[in-house]
Amino acid sequence: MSGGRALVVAFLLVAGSTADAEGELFVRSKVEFPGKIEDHLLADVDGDGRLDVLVVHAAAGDRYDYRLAVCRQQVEKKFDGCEILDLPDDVRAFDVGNVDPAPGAEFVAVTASGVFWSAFEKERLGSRHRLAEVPSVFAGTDPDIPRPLDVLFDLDGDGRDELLLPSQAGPVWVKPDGKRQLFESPAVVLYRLANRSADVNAALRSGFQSRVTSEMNTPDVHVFDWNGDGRLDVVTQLDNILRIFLQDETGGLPGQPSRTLERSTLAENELDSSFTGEVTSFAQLDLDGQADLILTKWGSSEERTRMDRAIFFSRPDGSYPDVPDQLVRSESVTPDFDLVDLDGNGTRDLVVPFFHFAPSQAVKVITQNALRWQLRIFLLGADGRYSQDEGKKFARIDHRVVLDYKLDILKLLFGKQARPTGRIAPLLDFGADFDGDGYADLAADDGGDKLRIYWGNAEARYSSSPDQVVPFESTLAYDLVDADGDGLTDLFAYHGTRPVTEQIGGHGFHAVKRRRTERERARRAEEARRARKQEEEVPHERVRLEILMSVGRAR
Amino acid sequence: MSSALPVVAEHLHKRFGSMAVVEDLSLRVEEGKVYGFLGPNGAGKTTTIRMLLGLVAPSSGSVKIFGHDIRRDFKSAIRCVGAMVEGPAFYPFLTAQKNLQLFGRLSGGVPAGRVEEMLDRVGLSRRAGQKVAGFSQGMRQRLGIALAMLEKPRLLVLDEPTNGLDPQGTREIRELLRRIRDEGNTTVFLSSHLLGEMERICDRVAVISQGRMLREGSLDELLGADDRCFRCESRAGRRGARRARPSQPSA
Amino acid sequence: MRSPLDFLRTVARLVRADVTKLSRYWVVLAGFVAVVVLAVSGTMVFHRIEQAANVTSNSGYDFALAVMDRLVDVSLPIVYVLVCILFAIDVSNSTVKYILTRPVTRMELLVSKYVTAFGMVTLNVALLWTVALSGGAAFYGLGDLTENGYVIFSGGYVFGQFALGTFFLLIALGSVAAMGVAVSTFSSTMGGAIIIGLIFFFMLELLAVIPTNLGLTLSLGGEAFVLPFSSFSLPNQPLIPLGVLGDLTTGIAIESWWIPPIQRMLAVCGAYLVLFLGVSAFGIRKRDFTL
Repeated sequence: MSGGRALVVAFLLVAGSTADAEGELFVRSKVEFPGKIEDHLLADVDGDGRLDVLVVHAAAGDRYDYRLAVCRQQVEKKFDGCEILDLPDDVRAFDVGNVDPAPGAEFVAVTASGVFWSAFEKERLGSRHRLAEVPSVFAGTDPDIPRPLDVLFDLDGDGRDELLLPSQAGPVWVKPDGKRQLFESPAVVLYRLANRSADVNAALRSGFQSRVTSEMNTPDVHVFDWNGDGRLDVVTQLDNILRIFLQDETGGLPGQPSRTLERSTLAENELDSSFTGEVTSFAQLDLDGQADLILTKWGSSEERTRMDRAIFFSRPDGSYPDVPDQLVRSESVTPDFDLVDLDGNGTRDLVVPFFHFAPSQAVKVITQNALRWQLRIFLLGADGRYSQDEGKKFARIDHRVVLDYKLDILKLLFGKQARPTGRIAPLLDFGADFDGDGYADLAADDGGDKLRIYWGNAEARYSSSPDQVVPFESTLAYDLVDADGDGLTDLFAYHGTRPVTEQIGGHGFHAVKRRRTERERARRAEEARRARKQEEEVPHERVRLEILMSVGRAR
Repeated sequence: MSSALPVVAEHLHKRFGSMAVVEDLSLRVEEGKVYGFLGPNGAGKTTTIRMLLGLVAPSSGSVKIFGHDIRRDFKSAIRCVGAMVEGPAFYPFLTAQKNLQLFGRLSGGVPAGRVEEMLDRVGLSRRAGQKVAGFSQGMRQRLGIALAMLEKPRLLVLDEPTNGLDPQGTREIRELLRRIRDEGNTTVFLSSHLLGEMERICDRVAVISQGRMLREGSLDELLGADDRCFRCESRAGRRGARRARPSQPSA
Repeated sequence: MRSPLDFLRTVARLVRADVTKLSRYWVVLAGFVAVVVLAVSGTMVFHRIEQAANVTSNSGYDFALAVMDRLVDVSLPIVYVLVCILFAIDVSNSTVKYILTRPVTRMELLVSKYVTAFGMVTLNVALLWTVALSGGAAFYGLGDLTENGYVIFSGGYVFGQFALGTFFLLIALGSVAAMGVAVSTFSSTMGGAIIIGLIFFFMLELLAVIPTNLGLTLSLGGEAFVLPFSSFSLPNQPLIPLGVLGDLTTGIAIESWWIPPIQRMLAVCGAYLVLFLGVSAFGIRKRDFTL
């Protein structure tokens, strides 16, 4: 599991209001500059122990001129402004990490001709230093928007990051001494005939993506302590096949998988069904230190919106059963879920979004402009299992939280709000602990410029109405993280993003962008020229950051 | 209250906007009599009847039915009245019998057999089960009188009951009214623009024209008062005065 | 001054007469037959759609509720049209003149029409629930509400909440019916009543498509409160109680029916009801039915 905790859900306007003691809870900063956000990440660039914000954005009026805004955190939890750095044209992806002994993180650019690092200097990037030569990472692709890419990991635990780069043969580990190691986990080339319904689905979800008849899938790479020995392991994932490369006592990692794990809950006839698919996830759910598997199967031949989660708990010898230990059934539009320790017992509790497909939902949107979601909470008990009664096939829901999410239909109609193209991700997160009591608080953007906070507790019971309501401009892009190391979760909201255009994830395929031809390059150049011309005529788009730094709450 | 007169109307005025339809009209109808209300079309007969029945409020003046003020004590006043205003009214999709039963319930219901008795009395027994939609105008008029009499009213108000009927139908209605009069229990207030009709069955007649009462009295009084002739001005015609003989029904 | 009892007795007589009359009028019968046919066919179609789309209701209650959501929407104009002709049927046949020469006051007549109208929407809802719940029972079964094999709520509790929901539903439907009576009060012909009634109905229906972020911003207790224009969409109000019941079938206990959406529904419907009552009371007092 990557650290992402975002539940892809939408939801609430809870009736009633609570006192807004925002002054006690957050120190608020607002930062604004021209442009349009493409991506964002948090890193400590100046080595002061506080996380700073980095925003990749297109310059105002020129959608192909990408820049990096570095907004440094000041003392007293304040953000005063941002430095705008030019990004070199050849940057295809970048990461920020500690590759140099100097304090603070460095900018690591992944280009078609190699990987380079630069120090963050005052209002510019420092001179380039070659980190590795891996020319094949982007072979055959065109330059596009430079995006953050997780390529820096401290696998050996020496405090400095190493490169872990994807390649067709598998991820390549570039060690500090420059030696490389391949984790054998080859890409898979799929040949698939496009069909009309797939194209329609693609068009519905993302306007510009189109289908091709062959796709290449490289495995996802995760760095994760699989067996609980305190050392990071490398896990590659392709479809439902996990290859685990376990780190030994000497800090070495094998080139061949230490273990290959393949589980599926799909029936034979469901493999080719466009309505059914499966997502494989893993996490340390219980306290045995071993990763556990969660297979989410969406749809079925009987019920299209069904989301069945099959949980395979690891055995003491590191093996997994052939049939799932537990089944969690729900109904939703996406297979997303969250794993958070809600009750503070150290185990990961399961939070499953539930969306009821009833005509009344449409009516709610009409009469109240709200989508209603339900979060179903399954608590992992001391016995290492989710609640389940004797003789029952499925786990029992322990608690439910109901949330409404306002939809501004005008904004939707006129493109001022990201359309729900199948994956909208408003701020709805159990990952926060705003008050530092050790229990996960629920932060929910109501879609109506209010952040509703529900305090966590040992019972994982959340009140039906919010405990605190904070003014907050609704957003689909945010980070929840402790940015100043005080143990309290802080909130970073990003406004001025492009509409959500995510790849279609799924069983065995990803939609990929069509390779651009020369004609398209020319079209893009023309577009850029027009955009520059319009720059003088239209007001600049603005990137806006709203940062809420927690200061705890009075008890 | 039983000694009170069936109808006492005093100084009735009715205006629709600036147009005076009834002006200073006073009536006294004695019990057990057939009271004719004669006048040409547009003379104000129906408006007067609507005021007598409380269907419209007079601009000024008062109406008492058996001593009950029709405005202030409507229910007590109207309880003793059976009426047919401007022709019979029924639900065409119901049978004659069902119509009478339904309307009979409005006042709390009529005794068993009363509906059949009234249908028999107006000669519609054999048509009781037929829907009113198929009835001729004469049958409807008879059914309307049956309805008006359903609850044995002490005052029967009939507005132009022979309107649109052929001579045979007119005769039938006349016979019916005559029988009612002869029974002596019911006071009948009858409006018409046909003098001949009045002559045959009315004990007293009031003549109205342009909303004003011209004469009131027994037919003998009226006819004797002016050499068996009286003057009736038709507002509709406005073609001047016309002398008419009471023996001429079309006068 | 008449006693309230006398008033009620007279209203009851008038309502009984209306029931007798309407139950024999083919237009009304055809309307309710249409409602039943729609309900039955709608239930069947809904189930077929579920099968075709591979979407299943969680329970018989959920199925019934989903069916009701659509049926209330579809059948409401039918019943509304029938209500629109309540007065017109008497005025166009001139029978109102006879009625008003009986010991019946105009207010009693008006109230009786409202009672009859509410009776008609109640009958409509009863027919819809009967068909929808029968469908739910046939396709999924009723009894205790279960999810993934666990009993969430007892059948008695669910039926109790459904009854409460129906009560609120009837309030909303009643206010729509009141609009029909108000229109009818001013109509002389049945065709006119239906046309004018439908114009009003669809004008109000149009409010529903106005985005709810357009509305009146009120300041209550120092906090800005938006009353969306779409809230005034009267024909959509009946769906609010059904929406609340929708939570129940997904496992959320209804702690209270006194919640903002219901309060807003009651406020909107109550305002409409007062408006329509006032308009129709004015109409019936001033109108000369004998013209």
